[in-house]
Amino acid sequence: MRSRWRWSLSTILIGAYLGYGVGGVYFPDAYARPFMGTSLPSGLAFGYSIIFVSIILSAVYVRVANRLEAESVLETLTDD
Amino acid sequence: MTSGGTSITAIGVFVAFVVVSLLITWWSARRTRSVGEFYTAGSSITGFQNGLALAGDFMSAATFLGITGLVFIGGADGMLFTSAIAVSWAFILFAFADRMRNLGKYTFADVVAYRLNQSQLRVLAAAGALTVAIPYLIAQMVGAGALIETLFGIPYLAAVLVVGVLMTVYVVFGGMLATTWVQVTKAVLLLVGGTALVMLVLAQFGYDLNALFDRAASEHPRGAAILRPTGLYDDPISVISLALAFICGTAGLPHVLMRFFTVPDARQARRSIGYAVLFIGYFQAAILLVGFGAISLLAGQTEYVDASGRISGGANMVAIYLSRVIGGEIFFGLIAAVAFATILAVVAGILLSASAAISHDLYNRVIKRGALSSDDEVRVSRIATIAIAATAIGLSILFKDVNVGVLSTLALAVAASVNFPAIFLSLYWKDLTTKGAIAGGATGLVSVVVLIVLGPTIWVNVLGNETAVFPYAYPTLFSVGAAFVVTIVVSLADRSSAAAAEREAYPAQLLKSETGRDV
Repeated sequence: MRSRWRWSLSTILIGAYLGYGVGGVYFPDAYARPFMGTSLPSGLAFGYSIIFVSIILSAVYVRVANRLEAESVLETLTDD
Repeated sequence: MTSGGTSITAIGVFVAFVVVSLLITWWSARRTRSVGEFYTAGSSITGFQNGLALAGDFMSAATFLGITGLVFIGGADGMLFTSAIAVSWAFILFAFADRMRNLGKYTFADVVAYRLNQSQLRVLAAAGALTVAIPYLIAQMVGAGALIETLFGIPYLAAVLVVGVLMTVYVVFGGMLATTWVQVTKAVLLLVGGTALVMLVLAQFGYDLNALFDRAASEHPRGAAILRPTGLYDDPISVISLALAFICGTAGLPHVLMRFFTVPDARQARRSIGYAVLFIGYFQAAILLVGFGAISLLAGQTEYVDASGRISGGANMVAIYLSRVIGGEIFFGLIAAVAFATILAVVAGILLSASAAISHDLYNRVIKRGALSSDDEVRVSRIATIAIAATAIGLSILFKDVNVGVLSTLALAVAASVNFPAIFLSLYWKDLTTKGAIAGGATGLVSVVVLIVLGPTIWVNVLGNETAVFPYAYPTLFSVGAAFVVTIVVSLADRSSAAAAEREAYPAQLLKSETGRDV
């Protein structure tokens, strides 16, 4: 159960990062374009969202994995 | 410093930090008796504290001063590093935090050697730990010496000695407990200092991000081109290789891995990395804005930057100059002292991990077959600490002009190519055998060193050749790939009875790594 979270979160995040990095090689113009009418270049907005998503997904994993562990400990206690 | 000489504030804040850190060491020394207390603070650190300490371990002068300098020169390219760092820490959380904590005791070698041949794997892991730790230590100390020389007007030799002696005192007397709290103190200072710096930058633009980026694009010699992906984005191979250097490299740093064992259990281990991702991600995000602030505000400051855009004292000084321009003398002193404190805390963490590799893995586990008493192991560890520190001080003085960037790249690439494959496969692949791990580790080490020497970093920049034999600055895609392939092929081909026993031991290791309990 935990391993499903482990690998899906890793894949999402590393996939997004590689997409962002390799995207910069092929679409530099798109990355330089202002993001939604601001002066922030879209490439930077993309990078900032990856940092943000890293933090959010980490929080999700800590919560889920720690809760799963508490439940499994509870199960073994009641089994005994 | 070309102007103004030594700042009184800088010295004041720095002396205050040293006094606090020595008090911490004195307090820790009375609580550090057993070997477990020495290496891992008796696993008594909470997740939140350890999260700060991990952030402290990672936010070196290289990430603070180096990335600001990188953005100052390369603009938006800096984001490729900044976001890689956040991703790599999240990956450590998902893949390593809980399993490492459940399997290990003091060093990552405990985990790698769990079901494999103890002596052979310990030698491999210790070699990996030392090949990462020593260049990293020297890189930090040489960087520190140069920085302190520029900032405080203290001669290089004295600066290196101050850093070297203080880090030795922290580790020898206070062990992991002192190292952790020095790290926590520094992390708080750096987070507060970084936030203040970014706030002051934004204040210059009326807290309007648009104005900041517009101004940066109009001030930089390369104009709006700094908002586009450029040099680092030459081809997909280098982008992927750089990503691997960060993701696998950070997960292979011995001083970072050692921190998993300072908390009581897997749940606290996860929480520590969760907090570390938050602190590091936030700091990196802020630092990128400081870099753009430096582009906007240092342009035309001929005292610091000449007409061709060259920075006096090197690109690493950008953040420090910026703090003086926008915050005046007192703020400049604060940031300079924080940068110094940063280096001091980072080197202590690295030193402790190198010392544990020698005293715990090599001396106690391999030479004495684990027969050393707790008291003796602490004594050996202290001697090892002093020996490594003396070596590092000596080498830093000898190689004053070594390229700090080369050393850090090398350390990260070795961590990715030697330590990471061994840890990852021992945790997740049941068919890993001792022969496979040793062959893969050796392949990783040889290929990474050869490829870095033949690559642009050494072949062109250091040796002065026209073109590099190997075109990529980060060889990690190839060296990590080679290490994985060789480990897997040799393990699968290993038909010995020892290999069969190692495969049979996997289910028990899996259970222990997931639950923390023995069968």
